[in-house]
Amino acid sequence: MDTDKLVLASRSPRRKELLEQMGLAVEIIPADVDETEKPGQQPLALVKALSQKKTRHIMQLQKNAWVLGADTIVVKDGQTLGKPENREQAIHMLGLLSGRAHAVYTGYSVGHFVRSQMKTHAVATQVVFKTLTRQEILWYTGTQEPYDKAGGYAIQGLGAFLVKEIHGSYSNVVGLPVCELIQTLAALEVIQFKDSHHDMD
Amino acid sequence: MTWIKDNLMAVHKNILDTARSCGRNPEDIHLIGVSKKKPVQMIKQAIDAGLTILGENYIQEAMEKIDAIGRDAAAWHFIGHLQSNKARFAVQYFDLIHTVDSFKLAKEIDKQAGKIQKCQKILLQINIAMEDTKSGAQKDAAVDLAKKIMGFENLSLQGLMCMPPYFDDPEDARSYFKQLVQIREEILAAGVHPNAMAQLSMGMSNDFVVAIQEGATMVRVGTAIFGSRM
Repeated sequence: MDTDKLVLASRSPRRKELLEQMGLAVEIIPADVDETEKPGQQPLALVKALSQKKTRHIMQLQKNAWVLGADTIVVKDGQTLGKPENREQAIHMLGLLSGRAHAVYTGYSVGHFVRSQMKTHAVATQVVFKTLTRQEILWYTGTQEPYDKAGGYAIQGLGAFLVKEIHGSYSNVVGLPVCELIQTLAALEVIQFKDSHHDMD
Repeated sequence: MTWIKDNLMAVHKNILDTARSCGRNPEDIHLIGVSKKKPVQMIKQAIDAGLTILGENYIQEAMEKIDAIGRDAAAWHFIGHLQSNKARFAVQYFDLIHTVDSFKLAKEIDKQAGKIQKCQKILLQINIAMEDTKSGAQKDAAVDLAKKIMGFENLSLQGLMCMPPYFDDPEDARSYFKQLVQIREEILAAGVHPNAMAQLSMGMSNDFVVAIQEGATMVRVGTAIFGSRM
């Protein structure tokens, strides 16, 4: 790939892995921005705005790089679930999600300062949890997994056993909607598709 | 350099007293520190002393200084004459552009803002004293231009700006400030939303007291904060 480097304005190792899985090498420079937004914003507008904020912040510092910023939130019955800070909160969150559907929203922005370009997109996925027993909740919250994840679970980890159904993008729940993102990166010419077929001689 | 802090406090107090004496809410009046040709170190001191908005006049100079100080360290306003070919940089570096004075410039700013998905806040600059040497839209073109600007997707019109001639006696500037208020009335009467006419950027070091009395919401003060010399 012959282009400017790609900077990921996020600490999330999941996002980095998703990009590396697509053969994209990224440098991580987390954007520490104020994440409080205007109250009453729709989830899609909210994650878009936050991803733009993170992206712009790093664009200003890394003027010759493509910058990717993203934000993911989990919403249940109109209530945004953050990252549980302790076991009590994690148990409460999983109780809320048990046997019901919730939505995961990820917004992302890709921008380049010198090229003066930016594109933003957001994707929603519906996730349905199985009905959880008390033992299951206690076991899962006894692991390390829930504590740095919005909504208190990781679909790509042990938390996979919680998820009965999913409607929409899977990678979106992990932290980046890869299908849409690749389309955006191609549209901006951050990446090009070259024929990767090798002759079988 | 505690004198910057002292100067800033004196200006703030002056704004406060003026606002109170004419029955205005001091919070409606924003102080913009004009930092053109002032070094980074001095600007940092002003920010540390509580200045939250900086005004810059030259794109190249401003870019270097903002990169050194930090885009998020303060709100940055562009208050100098803007050429269309510099619109892109103005959009990238500034929260508010005070000096939009033509359809052509508005169109270019809209285009550049669209590229980075920004809604660029702008003011319409009026050549209030009809001086050949000053930029600004002609007074009789203001209503038409304001209405056209409202049609741009990536521009958010916030109000009007003017720069009257310099007078030794600030009272002489009063009639020009009154005229800007009058132009705002005409624009509102033509159906432009009041939110797009909320700001009046007028008044500088020597005449901001008069400007506040006449309704200024933004005063651009350089000398009274930073002194006249470096």
